[in-house]
Amino acid sequence: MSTLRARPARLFALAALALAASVSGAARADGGYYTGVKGARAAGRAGAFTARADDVSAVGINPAGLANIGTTMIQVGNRFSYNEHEFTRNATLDWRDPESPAYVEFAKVKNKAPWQVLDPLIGISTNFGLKDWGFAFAAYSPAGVARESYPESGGQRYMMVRRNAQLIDYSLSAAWKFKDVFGVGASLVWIAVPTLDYSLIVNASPFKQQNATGVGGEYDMHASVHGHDYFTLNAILGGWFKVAPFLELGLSGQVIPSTIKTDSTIDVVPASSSGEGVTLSRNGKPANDVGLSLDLPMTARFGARYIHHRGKRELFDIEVDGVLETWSRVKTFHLDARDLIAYSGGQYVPFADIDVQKQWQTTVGVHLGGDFNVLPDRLTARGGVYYESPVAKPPYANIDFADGRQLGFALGGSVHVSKLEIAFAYEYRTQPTVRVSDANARVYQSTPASACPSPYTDPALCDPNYLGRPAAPANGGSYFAYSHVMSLDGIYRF
Amino acid sequence: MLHHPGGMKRLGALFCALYPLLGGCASDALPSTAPGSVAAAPSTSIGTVATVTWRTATATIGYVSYGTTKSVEQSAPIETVASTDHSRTLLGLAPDTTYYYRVITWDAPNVTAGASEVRSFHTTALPAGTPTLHAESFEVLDDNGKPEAPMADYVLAPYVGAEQTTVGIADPAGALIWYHVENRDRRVTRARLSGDKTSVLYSAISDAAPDDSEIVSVAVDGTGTSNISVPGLGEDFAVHPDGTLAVLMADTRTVRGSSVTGDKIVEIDAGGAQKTVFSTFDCFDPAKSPGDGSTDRWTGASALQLDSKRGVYYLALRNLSSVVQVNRESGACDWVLGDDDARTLDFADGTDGPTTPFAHPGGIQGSANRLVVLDADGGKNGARTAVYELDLDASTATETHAYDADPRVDVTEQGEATVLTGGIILTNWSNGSRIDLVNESGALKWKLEVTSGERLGYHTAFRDLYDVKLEGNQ
Repeated sequence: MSTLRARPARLFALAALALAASVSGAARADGGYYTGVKGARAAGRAGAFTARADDVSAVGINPAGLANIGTTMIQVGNRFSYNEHEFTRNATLDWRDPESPAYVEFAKVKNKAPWQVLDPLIGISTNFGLKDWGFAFAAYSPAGVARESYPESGGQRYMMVRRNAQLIDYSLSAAWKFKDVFGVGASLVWIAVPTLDYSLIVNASPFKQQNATGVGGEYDMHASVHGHDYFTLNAILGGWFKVAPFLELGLSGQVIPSTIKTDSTIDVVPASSSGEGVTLSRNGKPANDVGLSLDLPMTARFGARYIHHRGKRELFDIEVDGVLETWSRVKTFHLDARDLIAYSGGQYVPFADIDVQKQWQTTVGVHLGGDFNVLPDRLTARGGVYYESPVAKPPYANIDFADGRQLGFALGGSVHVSKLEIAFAYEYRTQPTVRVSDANARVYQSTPASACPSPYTDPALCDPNYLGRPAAPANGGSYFAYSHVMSLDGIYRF
Repeated sequence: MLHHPGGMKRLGALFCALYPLLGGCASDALPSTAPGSVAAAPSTSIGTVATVTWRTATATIGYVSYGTTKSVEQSAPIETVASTDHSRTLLGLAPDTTYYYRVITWDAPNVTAGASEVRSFHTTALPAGTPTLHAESFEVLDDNGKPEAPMADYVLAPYVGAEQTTVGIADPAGALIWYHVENRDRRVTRARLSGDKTSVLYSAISDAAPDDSEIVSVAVDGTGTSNISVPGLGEDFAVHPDGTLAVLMADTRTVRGSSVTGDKIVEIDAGGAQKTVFSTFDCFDPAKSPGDGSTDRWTGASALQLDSKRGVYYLALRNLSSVVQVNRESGACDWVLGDDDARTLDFADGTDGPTTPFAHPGGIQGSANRLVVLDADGGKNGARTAVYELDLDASTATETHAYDADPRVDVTEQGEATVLTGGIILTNWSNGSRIDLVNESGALKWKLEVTSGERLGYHTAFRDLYDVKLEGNQ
């Protein structure tokens, strides 16, 4: 290898390492439950990449594909996204005045932090000179929307006010292939959650009458949980099989049922300046430590890829992927209050656990995409469309994640300059409007001090207007979300 | 790149349309619970009352928000029984005014609120001859230097004019928000609310033909009137919570060869059956207690009050300058206070000052240990309100405070004093065409003047037009 050829490679590697050093902090700013895929090439195909999986992003999609890279590759990229999420809560009555309950309409609220400028992927893949092998190390924030923020006085307030979920996956992968017939691979994934913040408004009233409002009151408290979980282990297994020169199949799966369990603290402050402060304690001593649990899904991906050759060159390919994700593992976001006692207004009240109802369901996604080599070794165009079934049934819709069905398309391409490939993609993703009636809404205002016991039918302890329900519904309304996502990767092959 | 959110929604809708096999757009919207067929109409008989009607597809409860602006800042109470056909009467409206309103519904099983669009109607002007009123409030500070609560009661009273009497309700701002005109040749002395609070009752006394006297019942929502014949009806009546009426009636007997007309309390139940509870002859002897009236108005009963919880009546006898507490069950005189030999309680000076006996009492309000009297002639400066503390063990009545009219009024008709929430006293100066509200220190907080000159009959004060909470005894 000549000096002239080695120099840009070293420069690129140095630049990549410098960026890696910088994004080790920047990466903390991104993550969240997943939307889309990482890697500009995969994103440009709308995620139809399970069978192809021929860059570093394979560590998270199908690690078996690493065996097909056949060289050393450094991939550095980032997603830039604009994530709009809207919610208009259904009008309701404020029963604090039972004779003339006020009719309350809510203004539309929008995510106040729609821009996400850092959502990186950095990784290196090499075969160490072993022809049928591939190895990779990558660090990336899983594709998603890290932060959402809404007005504290907005109609969504009893679902969520702010969320900041920063996840970083560190992946160590290996793959092997048998000739060009089939290959297998595995990624060991260390999921670090440096920050998981979640806040919402709770109705801390112990009084029946004050629990009768789904609108707001003097007992409203801003409960914010701040936590981290630096080590959760997961693994991804994958394989591919070349049925014929023109047909390739891919299969992969995230196989360990993992749960993020954060060590967190909770702060509870009055939502209004006139409210009484809250002091938390346990066993007579000040305390505010709590636990927050978030289950992660197992996933399975299957891809079938048709490759059209002209001569010995690939002219284009079309791949269709099916993705199954077991989000049904997520029943609630459970806050374990660990027997905290809240003191406010001269009263000690047990601070009950908070369950943000999710009752998510297993999702199915269909992704169709492909590449077209416009100018061989110079310019590649790609595109794709996808559909993902809703993760939440409408009664459990929430503002914290876009949990309805997702539709999207992507366009992208690659420009090859010597051994450097610049890949880019634009993706539009939308969640069509989801409407939830208050009758069917199953996410309720959190009332941790309520004296109304399950099944919530005791008129002496429960508000007569919400008998049979733990509190006023909080998530009835209409939801709409969309994202513009730009991905840009630099890929250098040695 | 797509930018416009509206465009995004249309695109989303297009996706929905293109993906019917995948379930279409996610929505669990229920059939609308919003009210339909919403309409409002002012009453044809009472222009300041209107009825709003609406229908709902499912059984709901609802209420009407209304006001003079589109923000509809007032509300009538929510219904208590779910139905699909609804009607609600709006009270307290200003005459000749455009009102905006909106119907709000609540589908209880589905915890779902609905609302109509904001609509409007116009009330009619007050008829000619109804009184014109003027209310004025005065800031009074309490012991902590904070303003005392303002006048919050509605006042129902007859406004007696030369040509006609208007039975009306005035709001704290002095607006006549309900009225009924009595233009027959009848003397109207008292107006009260019926037991179920759906009607206004008033006495219509025929001096020319006493047997034609009656109590008139006017539906608050203006839907009609009815009459209860009460031959010989006196100046006052009271209403029990169950609707039973207690009326003053003339009681004429022959005493030592002479005809003497005293008074009696007669109860009239819902079926019209009458029962005499008490007669002034039971406790007074015309020979020993001649009073200062003529024999055809010997005792001159001027006012009747009921304390239904304690089961007693208070009866003011103008011509005997006495007040009697009558046990409803036994008909016995529990006590007599006044300037008469039959008295069982004596006026006694207090430590803070002398006690002035009342003379020719008008309206009264009694309780277990207190008596408030409109004292027509006991004071030195015309009529006054006198408050006496009763000590039944010591058989004494001690004046605790009094309030003189300023300027002076000589009450000759149905003046009355009522204690309202917080101990404040509402004094109706009758032919003074004025009502004053004073606190216990005698500071004037509010006054209502009948600028058109009608005198006032006995009044009833109450809170909240829709959920009437009567003040004082009935």
